[in-house]
Amino acid sequence: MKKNIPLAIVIILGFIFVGWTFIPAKWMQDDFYTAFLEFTKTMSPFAVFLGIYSLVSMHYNRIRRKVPKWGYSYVTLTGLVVTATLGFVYGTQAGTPVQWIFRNFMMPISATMFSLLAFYMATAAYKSFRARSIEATVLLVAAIIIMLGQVPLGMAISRSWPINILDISQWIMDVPNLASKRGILLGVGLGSVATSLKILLGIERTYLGGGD
Amino acid sequence: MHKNRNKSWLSVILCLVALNFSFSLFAEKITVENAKIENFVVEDVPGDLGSGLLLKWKPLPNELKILEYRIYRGITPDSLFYSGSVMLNPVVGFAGEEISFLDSGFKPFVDKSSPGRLVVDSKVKPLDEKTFYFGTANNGYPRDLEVLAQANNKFSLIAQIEKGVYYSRYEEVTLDEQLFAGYPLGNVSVLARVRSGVEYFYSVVPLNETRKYLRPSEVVSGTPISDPLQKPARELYSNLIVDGSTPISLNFDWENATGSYSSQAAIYVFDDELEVTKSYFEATEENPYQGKEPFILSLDPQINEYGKFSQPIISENGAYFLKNEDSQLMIDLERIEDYQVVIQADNGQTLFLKDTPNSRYQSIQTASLTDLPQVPTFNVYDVPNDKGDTQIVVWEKPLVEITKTSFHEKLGKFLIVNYDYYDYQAETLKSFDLKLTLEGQEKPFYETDEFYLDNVIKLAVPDDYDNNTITAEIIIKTNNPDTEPYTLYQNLKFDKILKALIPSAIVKNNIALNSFNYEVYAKEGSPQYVTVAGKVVGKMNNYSDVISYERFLYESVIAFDPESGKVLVPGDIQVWYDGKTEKSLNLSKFASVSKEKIATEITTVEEEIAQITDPKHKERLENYQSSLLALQTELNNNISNRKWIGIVKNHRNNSLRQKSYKVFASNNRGLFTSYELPLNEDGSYQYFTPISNQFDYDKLAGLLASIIFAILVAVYVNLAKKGVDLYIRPIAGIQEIDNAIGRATEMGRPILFVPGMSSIGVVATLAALSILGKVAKKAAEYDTRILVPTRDFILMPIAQEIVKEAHIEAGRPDTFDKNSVFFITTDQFAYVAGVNGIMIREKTATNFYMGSYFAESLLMTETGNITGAIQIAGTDSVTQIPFFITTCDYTLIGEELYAASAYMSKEPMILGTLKAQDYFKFIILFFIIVGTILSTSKITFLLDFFPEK
Repeated sequence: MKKNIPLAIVIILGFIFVGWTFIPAKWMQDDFYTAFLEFTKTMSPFAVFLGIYSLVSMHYNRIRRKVPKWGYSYVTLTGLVVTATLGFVYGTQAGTPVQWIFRNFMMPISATMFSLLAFYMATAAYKSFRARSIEATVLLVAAIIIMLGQVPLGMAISRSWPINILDISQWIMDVPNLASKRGILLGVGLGSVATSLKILLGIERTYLGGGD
Repeated sequence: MHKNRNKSWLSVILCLVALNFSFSLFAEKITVENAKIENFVVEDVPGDLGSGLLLKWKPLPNELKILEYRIYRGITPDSLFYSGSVMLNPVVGFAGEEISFLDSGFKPFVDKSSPGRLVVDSKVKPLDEKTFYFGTANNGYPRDLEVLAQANNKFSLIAQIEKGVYYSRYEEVTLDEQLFAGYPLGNVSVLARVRSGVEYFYSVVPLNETRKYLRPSEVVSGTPISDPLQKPARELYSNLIVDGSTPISLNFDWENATGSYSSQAAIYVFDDELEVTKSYFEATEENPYQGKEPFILSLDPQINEYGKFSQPIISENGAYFLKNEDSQLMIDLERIEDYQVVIQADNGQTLFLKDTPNSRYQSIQTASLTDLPQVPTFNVYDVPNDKGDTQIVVWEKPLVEITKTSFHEKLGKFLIVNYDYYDYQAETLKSFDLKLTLEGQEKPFYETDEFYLDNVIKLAVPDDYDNNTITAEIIIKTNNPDTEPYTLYQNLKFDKILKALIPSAIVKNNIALNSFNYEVYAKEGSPQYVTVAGKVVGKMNNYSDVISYERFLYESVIAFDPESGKVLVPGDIQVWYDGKTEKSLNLSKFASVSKEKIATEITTVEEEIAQITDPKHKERLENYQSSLLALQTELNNNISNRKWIGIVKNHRNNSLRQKSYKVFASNNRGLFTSYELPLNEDGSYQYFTPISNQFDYDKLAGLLASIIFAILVAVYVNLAKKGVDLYIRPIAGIQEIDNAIGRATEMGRPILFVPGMSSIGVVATLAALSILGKVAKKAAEYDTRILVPTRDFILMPIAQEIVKEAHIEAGRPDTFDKNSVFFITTDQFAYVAGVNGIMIREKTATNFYMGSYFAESLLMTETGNITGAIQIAGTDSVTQIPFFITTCDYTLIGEELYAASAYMSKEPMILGTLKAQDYFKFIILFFIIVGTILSTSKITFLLDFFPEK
């Protein structure tokens, strides 16, 4: 019973959404689908509550148990309480303290995290491009061509060549790269249809809370 | 001497500097406390029929970092309500000398987001005790009918009512002995606009970047004045259309002035000099008009919509006349260019004459009937596979246009020709032949049959090519077997600057298609045609007309009525529009009132029938009368208002979504032809209603593929259940999962499982959750901690349940720690920071990354790499796969992510789907090979069967 009712809901609604894909009629697209979509919004407030509860509970326990670096949990909880309080008191419009915190804390921190990506990419590229095998050498050559094709220097070098480096770069992107990408996407498409079908037919039930 | 003069100059400059310094020292510094809005004025907007006011003021200095100017408006000077704002960027500030705010058009007045009671905006510090500022951050008037009633008759008010509410939530309310429909205030949104003749009071309140309210401006009033801006047309073209030597008609083509609210009232044709023509309009009793009487053509607003009129020329006794009931003018064909044409706006004062500055005027030109643009008979089609809100007007056969060319000069000289095509489902472009011929040569140097329409053709340029002009001959073949192939031409001329061949306009039947435009007019719910598409370029062959389903209905607000507690709107409603008789039936929302109204309508129609002699018209009217009688019968059955409004709703839905069309082809210089659809057999106009389609045939291939796949799944699941051994190829990443968990156990460190960055609605996340179940079970069996940080708060409780169940299944419910599955944040990089922190602090031995990933993937896996964890990733995000391969020990690529749980469970049901998946790939491969062969052989039915996207 605990699993059968949710399973029945999933199967029924799943087929409704399959219908929504193939039936363009107004009764399905506007009247039915929009009405159901409204239902899904009701989930969010409960889930937000659970999320916040989880966050607070985890950090509270960290502080209580004095686990290593538990002091950071104070920072997290203080951030949560201060931001939420300021938001409730002053609102979230432009010029409010919440926006100030967002502009002066969140944005620079996020930008810092994102900027780290460039360094990580360099190290990842170094690892990949070491010509340890034939495959890695092919990868290295292809990568060099692609990189040269993206910068003016590449154009300048290849000016005297019978063929433009940009063309080779474009060919690599358009033919071998695109072919393998499509191969992966084909598999992904089929895999996602298969997973959906498994859920729709009740074969796959892990999402209902464990077990098969 | 010279030295002394220099000294005196120096002392003057020093004095000036000192003076300036002392001024700045003593000048009052503008601060947040003393800042004051200056030069605040409220002016009427000229020529807007009294529908707006313009507020202007001098901006405060940028140093004050003003974020917003809040506008408060009232109908008395002591009670002002928030009504809008001007937002600024406090960092950049405002550069101009004056800020303006236009209080015009309908804007939100009160709706469900408005405060329930009158709220004083306590942050505003009024200049005097008598003035009150009301409102919240985004709203002014409250949802309080007592307060709102003061706005009755002071604003133009419109109620926006959601369709479901409109037909169900109204009640009968009598006000001043009149019956109205009353809606609860909470169910309608009211929009308001200022009204001419009413005095409004305004005040501006500035806010700085910390939302501190500065001193409000003085309260200033303004009154909108009903002052129509009437301008004559700004362009006027006249053409005498002749058939051989016989004049047929005089065509007028004009364009209204921009921003003009006026209608053009009349066109005058004078057989006089310009000065004499002018004297006609300046004539008085003392100084009467001395010239010949002009021909006067009165225009009605319907015709004015088009900006075009064709006046037939009448031949009498060998002479030609412009003639109507009011006037006539004989036409002298020899002197036709000397005639004066004048167009007059409806206030009778504004005239467009030959010598009007900044305008275009063309004296009457003579043109042949054959010069008129031709439009083939157009048709109206329903757009297939849609919900029934679009139909398409098609007036031309498919066209192909070369849009761009470019040279490619490596390994030989190539020309890349980009083309576009315009067609419609009713008759689509099947293929076209392209022939390119060099200027001066007869034989084309390139010929191709373009059967796969990929918008580009690449061809080798002849060796002797020297930037000559190329003629492109495009022979069109359509899917309609009755249509003979037809030819279009374009010239490709070399441009030295762009170093490319520039295509000319498409020429069809010796007419350049860009020399004229199309205009589409439609009528819906009334006999008047209105523009639905103005000036569609000549190469376009259709126009899609969107006929939306009614979602909201708009009614003018009669009053806010505190007594009944309702917003009152008129009780009348348009019940239907009869396209056969062009009659509109307006009844009431209330059955009792409708009963009386329909009786009157029936009597009127009866009288009309009695007078009609045309049998077809009579028949149409009789049919209309029968419909009215049927409706009357229903009304006479004492039906409730609820049932009656249901009938009204059905009639409106059916009859108000039908349209009839008219298409103009015009060169915008007086040469135009209009086309209407042929009338029905009973003499009525053809009306079209879009159809709500029940199946999307574009997705037929998708549906069939899904069914075949489902069958394969069923077959292989059954085989698996019967114990048939299904071989599945080994996947290293999945086989290593056990070892990775074992490693963590041996090292006594936790496992980290990241379920992706997407929400539960994404299939990859569901696949990740399946894997989580298996990994958590193994971890529980080995008594190893598993940490699952989530980014989606909906995902978190589900993941928690999965891990809990896994522990129970492993027989270790005691080891489950609810806090091991937790929510971090929804922010992408904050989440990454959290996960990376866990890796470093907890020193996780094994990291799993399953699901969808974006830019953050490398940040996480590189950190894991640094901490020395064994890492297994699985994703369907194609762009992130290279990063995972580089930094992780094993990667499940694309579909392997979906297969992983089946692999790990070894359950026949799930293995069956995996096997079906593999066989389905064979089917896809088969279609790819067959499709490639067929397409190469120019057989495209298979290609056409599959949707492009």
